[in-house]
Amino acid sequence: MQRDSPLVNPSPPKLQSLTSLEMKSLLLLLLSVACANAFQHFEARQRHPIAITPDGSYLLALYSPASQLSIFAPGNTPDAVPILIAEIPVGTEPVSVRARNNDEVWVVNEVSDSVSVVSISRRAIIATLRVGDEPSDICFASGKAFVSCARSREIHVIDATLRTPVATIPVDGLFPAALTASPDGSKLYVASLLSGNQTTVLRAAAAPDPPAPDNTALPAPPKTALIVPASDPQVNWTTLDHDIAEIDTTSHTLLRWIPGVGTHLFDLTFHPDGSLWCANSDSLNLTRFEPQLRGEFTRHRLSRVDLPSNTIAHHDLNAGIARSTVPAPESIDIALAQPTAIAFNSDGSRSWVAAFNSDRVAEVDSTSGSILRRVDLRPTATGSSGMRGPRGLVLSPDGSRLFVLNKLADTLTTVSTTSAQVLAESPLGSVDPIPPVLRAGRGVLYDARLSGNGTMSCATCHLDAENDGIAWDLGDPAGDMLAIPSADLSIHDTTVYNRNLHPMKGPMVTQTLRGLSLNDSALSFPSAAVVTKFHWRGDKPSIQSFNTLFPNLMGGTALPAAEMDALAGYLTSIIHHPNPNRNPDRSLKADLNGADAVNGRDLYINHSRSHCMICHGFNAGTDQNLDIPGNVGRLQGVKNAPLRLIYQKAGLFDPTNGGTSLSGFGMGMDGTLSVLPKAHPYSLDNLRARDLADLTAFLLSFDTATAPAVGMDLTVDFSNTGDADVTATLALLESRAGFGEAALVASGSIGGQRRSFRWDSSQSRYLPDTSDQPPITRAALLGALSGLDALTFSGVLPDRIMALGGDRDGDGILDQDEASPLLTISQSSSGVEVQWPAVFDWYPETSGELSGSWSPWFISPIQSGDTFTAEDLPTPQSRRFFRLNRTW
Amino acid sequence: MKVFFFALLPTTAFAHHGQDFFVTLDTRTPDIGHGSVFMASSWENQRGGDETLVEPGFSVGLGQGFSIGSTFQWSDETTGSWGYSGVTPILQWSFAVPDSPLRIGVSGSYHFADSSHTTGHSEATTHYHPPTDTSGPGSNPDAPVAGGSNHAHQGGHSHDHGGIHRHGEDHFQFRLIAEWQAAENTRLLFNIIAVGSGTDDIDFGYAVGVRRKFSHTFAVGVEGIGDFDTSGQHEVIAGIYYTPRHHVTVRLGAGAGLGPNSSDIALHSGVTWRF
Repeated sequence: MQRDSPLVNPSPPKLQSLTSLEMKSLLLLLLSVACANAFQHFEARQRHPIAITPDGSYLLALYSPASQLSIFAPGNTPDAVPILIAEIPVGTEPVSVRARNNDEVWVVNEVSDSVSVVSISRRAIIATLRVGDEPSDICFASGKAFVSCARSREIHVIDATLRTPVATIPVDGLFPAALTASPDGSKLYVASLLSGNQTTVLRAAAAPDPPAPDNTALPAPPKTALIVPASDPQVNWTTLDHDIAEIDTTSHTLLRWIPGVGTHLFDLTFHPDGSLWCANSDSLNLTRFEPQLRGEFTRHRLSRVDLPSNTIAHHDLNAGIARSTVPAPESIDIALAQPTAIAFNSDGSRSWVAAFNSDRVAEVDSTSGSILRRVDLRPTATGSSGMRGPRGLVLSPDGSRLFVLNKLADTLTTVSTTSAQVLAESPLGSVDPIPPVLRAGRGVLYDARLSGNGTMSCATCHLDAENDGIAWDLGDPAGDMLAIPSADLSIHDTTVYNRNLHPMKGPMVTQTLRGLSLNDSALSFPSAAVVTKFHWRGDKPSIQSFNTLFPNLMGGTALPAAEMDALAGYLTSIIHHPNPNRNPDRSLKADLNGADAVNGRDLYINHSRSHCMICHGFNAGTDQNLDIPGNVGRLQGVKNAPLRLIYQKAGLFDPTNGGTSLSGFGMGMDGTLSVLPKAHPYSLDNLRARDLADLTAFLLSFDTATAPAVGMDLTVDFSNTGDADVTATLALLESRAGFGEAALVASGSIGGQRRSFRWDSSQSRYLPDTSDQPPITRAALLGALSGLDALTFSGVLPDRIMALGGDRDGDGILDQDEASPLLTISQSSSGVEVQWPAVFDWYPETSGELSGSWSPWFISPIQSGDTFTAEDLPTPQSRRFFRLNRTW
Repeated sequence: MKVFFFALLPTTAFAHHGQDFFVTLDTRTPDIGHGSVFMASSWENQRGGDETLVEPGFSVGLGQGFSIGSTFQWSDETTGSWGYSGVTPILQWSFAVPDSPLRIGVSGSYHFADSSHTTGHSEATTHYHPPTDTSGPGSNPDAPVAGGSNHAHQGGHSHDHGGIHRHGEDHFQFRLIAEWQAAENTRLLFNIIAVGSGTDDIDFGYAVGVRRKFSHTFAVGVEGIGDFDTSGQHEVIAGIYYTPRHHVTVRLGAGAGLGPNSSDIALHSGVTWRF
């Protein structure tokens, strides 16, 4: 659907008959629900989603849900409003963008595991580079590009000119993400997003007995694990605190780690004085029990690291804000939560910081750390549904304007750094793929204004709807027992019992909120036991039932049911990334770390050899039941956990005596489990060592419900059409599209024209973006490439096939068949009046000569109905020309 | 962990076709024209779950150290409901090493599990019908086809899979037997056990036993059995044997597991009539 522009408000529709309105409303609602249910996405973890070319000519912004790089002409006056001039498809879920020069832009694609190299002048991808799993950020230094691959914990080094791999640097940090290079380019700095905070967990057997409950009606609490400092005398292993890595950009060696910066490190940048600054948050998870955490569990900070001494100074962005267990508007109005970006002015005296969860940017005094000015980005009197989510920042070359990329609204806000006022807000693209109801729910998750003092949101711990890598003890000594229906299905007893759960539940590792719609049990009997339920213990029957956390944990108030419904809709739209341990065709690897995942799968499903599948049944690895606690070494009921993301959690925690642990927390509910495949103390099966290794390989390959073909991309030009790799990859993508695992689209530039194609398995042909051209074979399509032509083939989610493969606005008219809008010029009393249809994928250009140099016309048009109108004042020039140009 | 240890061994009762061991097979095959019939039973408990097996059988001598026979099993080991669970024919050959107290034997058997018993429980079979459509949301390409496993259990019982301990599935078992007459009234036994279904790996284990006779009427013995390939499955059984008449022996035994995968306690009984 075409986006509404926040810039202008269209005229209200004329009132029609009530019946007609009701009918339309009903249809709209049904359509919204249908679209919302169908829409799936990966919730990109944007790291540096906005940049500007070195000469300041182009503002580069990522429109992640649309898999698009949007290019704006920023203008060069203090009040200029950037104009969207190009929309270029890139890989799936782009998260970072950097300009290598004034024409070449590199975009990191988180799901595609690739980098798209884009030519601004050619308006197309000119190369696609493969990198590691879940790449996050990119930085240029010493003639090379450094790409952080967060999930695979490595830095890929690429020759920036040749675009060839140079090296891969292992980085033993947790989710290495944000990058920056020293001013001289000799060193690269890598921040671990989930670096932890030097806390870890003691097993229940090693932990002291829990205190007596405050509620005297409660039975004695179960003995649980305990979160402790990593320095606790009972901790006989070393928990690393790998916050920021320093890497030599010449030798590609990791020089050292800088510890003690924070728990979650969002952004890194250098101050003009040579100090390294990090936007981060610090979690207070040593505080035990929900009532004690209520109102305050995280600090948001800018931390200055003096190099090379590593002296660290923290600036609390919310200094002076008191903990509040009830909504305190005076605090909510000024709080700054989850700083995701920093930008220094030219002399470094001040910085701007994006408070992602607060919908604010703030100006910070670099010396004192005090907040000088705050700019609210959310329109007044707008609730969570109107969240903007400022995620990335860049200053105009003259420092007069701050450009803010809003991740949640997918808009670009321009702020005057002189007046600290919002100059304008523009959509990042002409088509919005996200249904409005999901945007509303998205806001609920991230909105810190729903907490007592404005510093906390669900996303404080569930970063980007995922997790924070640590555990919290949210037990409540004054709470009540819960009874959860369950059955002893592991011994095939289908009798439904109640598992009585104590409110003093002990530490629990923060769970991901992704893939929640994919965890249903395949069983239907006994229904009371296998019904879908949430959280580790299955003590939440629905996403909506988490509403209690707003008052009980965050110090806010419970939300209206409609908002919780919207939140549930949003969360269930997020799906998992493909599992990188599977083959590209989704099959299992016969050799994964020396073990056979195929044999592991056979063991897993062979009930005469193992019992894995009884509790961890397909599809997600859970039957949703709370089985016999003793079978998994628990003293209290716990839901059989899904296994789709085991590959992300394994190998991080080593609590053996003398061991070294990258994370303070491992697998399982309380984070104490560390060894696969028998993570929990389980003795049903007799498997020899080789079987155990194979079973581990299978668990590490557990299907995430997203095929590896999704996101896979490849750029083909005249020079490589005959490459064996190209042939094999295209054959694979076409094959997997035939299985419905992904849709296959191709887009790029042919003959200087933007073209799109989509693969039709039934015809074994590519369907073009015009009805004037018949379907063509792959050979014919590749044969059409010449000169500077380039096509990028991409596996995409099946529901995106039309949007990315020929009908971008979904209006049923193929892109090349869309009629061009008509621009009219007429005389007005003050000059000339220019009018054109109110479509957002065309922008006005002006020139003094018809054959001269055209440039974007920096003017804010007035929208009236379906028409934009702008007036041009008389100029000394004898004549001026106007035209419309397409953004794609 | 549910282990029904002895129910898994088709030669449990057969090991006593005329001699006196519970889980260890000796080399004493009946002479041609002679044989034995026997009835063995066992009860086992682990972590509150119990299972029971009754196993009648027979053996007849073929001459030249050969014997043939079979056992028949009734149990609640696999589905939780009592019923016929399988039949296990066995062929054995033994010989004495000349001028030595040592005897050597080999045996082969094949257990035919009763499919109606192992798959017939309607509740249990609900486990084995995961979705087969791999194109739908959330579906998993590794999920087996509907009814992917033909093996089911019920009712909080001890049970076990893999290794030398199989139940609920067809499988073969071979034993290499060594018997040493250490003294006039003392015999030592050692078995190497190989078990497999033919479709997966062969698992190996051992059984050892010592028996001392105090009189023509009473004897005692100690046995051990375990798995070479898997962890934590070793068990020791102590037995007492009463032979009121030469052709009749009544035996009682009690066992305990030594590893985490073994049973907590097991009771065994049986009677053999030789002819």
